[in-house]
Amino acid sequence: MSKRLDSSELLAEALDHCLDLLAQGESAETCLARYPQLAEELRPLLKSTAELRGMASLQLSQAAREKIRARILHEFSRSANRKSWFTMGVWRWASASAAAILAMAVLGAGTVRASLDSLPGSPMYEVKIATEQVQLALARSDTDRARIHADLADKRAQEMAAEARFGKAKEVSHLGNKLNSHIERAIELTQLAEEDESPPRDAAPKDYPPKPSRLQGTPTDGPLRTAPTARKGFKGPMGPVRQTLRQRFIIHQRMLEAAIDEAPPAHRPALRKTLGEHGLKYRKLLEKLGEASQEQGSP
Amino acid sequence: MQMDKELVEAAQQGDVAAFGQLYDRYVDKIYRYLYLHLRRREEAEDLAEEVFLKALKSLKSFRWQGVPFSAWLFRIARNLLIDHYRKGVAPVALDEGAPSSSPDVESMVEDRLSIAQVKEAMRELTEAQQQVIALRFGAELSIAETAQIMSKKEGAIKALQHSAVAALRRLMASSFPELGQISTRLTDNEQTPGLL
Repeated sequence: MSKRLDSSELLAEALDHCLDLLAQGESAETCLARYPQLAEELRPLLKSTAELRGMASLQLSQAAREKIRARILHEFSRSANRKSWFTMGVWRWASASAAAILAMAVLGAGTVRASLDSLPGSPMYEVKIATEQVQLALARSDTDRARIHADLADKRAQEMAAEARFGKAKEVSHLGNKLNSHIERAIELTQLAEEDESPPRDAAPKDYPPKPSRLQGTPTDGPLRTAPTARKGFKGPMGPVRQTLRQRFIIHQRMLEAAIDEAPPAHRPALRKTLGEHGLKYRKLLEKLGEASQEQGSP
Repeated sequence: MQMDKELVEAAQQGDVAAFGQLYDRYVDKIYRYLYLHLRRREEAEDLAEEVFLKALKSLKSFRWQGVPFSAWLFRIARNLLIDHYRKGVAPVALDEGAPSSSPDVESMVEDRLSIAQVKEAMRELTEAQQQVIALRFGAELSIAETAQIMSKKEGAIKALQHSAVAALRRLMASSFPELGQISTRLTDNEQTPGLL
């Protein structure tokens, strides 16, 4: 009896080992050669598993995948909204608020205002970031959050320009990642808000977008050059956010090009390389926004 | 590619993109696992959605204490399947809602057994054997992951895998005798190339 059990266990082990080898691209014959004493029993089993392994080609249809994805991420966003007030985000919100309130209490509101122009590495920069977190935590809708992320991307671009003028490629790269994260988040929230069946509730303020008046050395008035596809999707509650994201891409490009020209000549090649890489990602993210707009049949 | 742990932690902090990546990573596996049990595509799609919604609701409570995220997710799927059966949902007829297969036996054999036939044979297996087949071959999980989901030792999973594959082979051969004859003939001929 025990001998039968042993041989059964051996066969189970050999079968599993062969499945691993097949998954790694080995042939069945190679595997059988490793177990000559079990080959006769293993061969038909492996033949059956060939059919079973074929099941891995089964996939959810693209339409179903996207439908479920949209539903789940929408639910995630709603859940995050609720939790930001009650559970999950309360500590983050509280710590950010505490930092901002503490800064205002100790240093005064003027200091918080002064922190707006600070750069990474400065003690005031922490106050600036904490204030931004408070803004995000207090946002009541995806539309608001998208708008805030678009504004924060603008701030990161200004910081990148400032650091670029000093030739600090590493800092520029770090801020470039942050900028693209804000853009990505703004796009995701824009798409989520557009999927919502009650868009009027989240309608953006009429005076949005504000003019990026703090941009230095870049045009803030007059017509902006936008690609033909960029003109799609500017209507509806999220239209202004879409428009802002696209327009600011051009503004940011010009601002950063100007900053490189002001940088020490020895640092310019590294800065161009860094900015080129981040610019490419930035552009791709915006292309994604355009695709989503067309898929949703936005005017 | 980011590890599950990083993505789960980011999702727990409210990062929707991170949860999106987890969804993309596991949705097909979950769907296959469910489809192999449910047979009907629409049912599997609905339940796959429920799995991720349930995971979303419970995400905050997930802790990295020896159980990988994948195992946690499949446990949710398994529990939902059990609930689904408890609701008295009757099994549907073979091929209902499934991709159609050729009625011609010869071409069917040439094209290897269809998924529908495997699923039909699976109905005759024990619940544990069905689980192992769905997790190992449908969801493509490792022995270790399957063992965690089923709360069994790895050796037990290997034994179940062996018995399930052997039973499936017998069942499929008896359901499709033409196939059985061809398979037996081919099995006897060790020189036949490209069979496996």
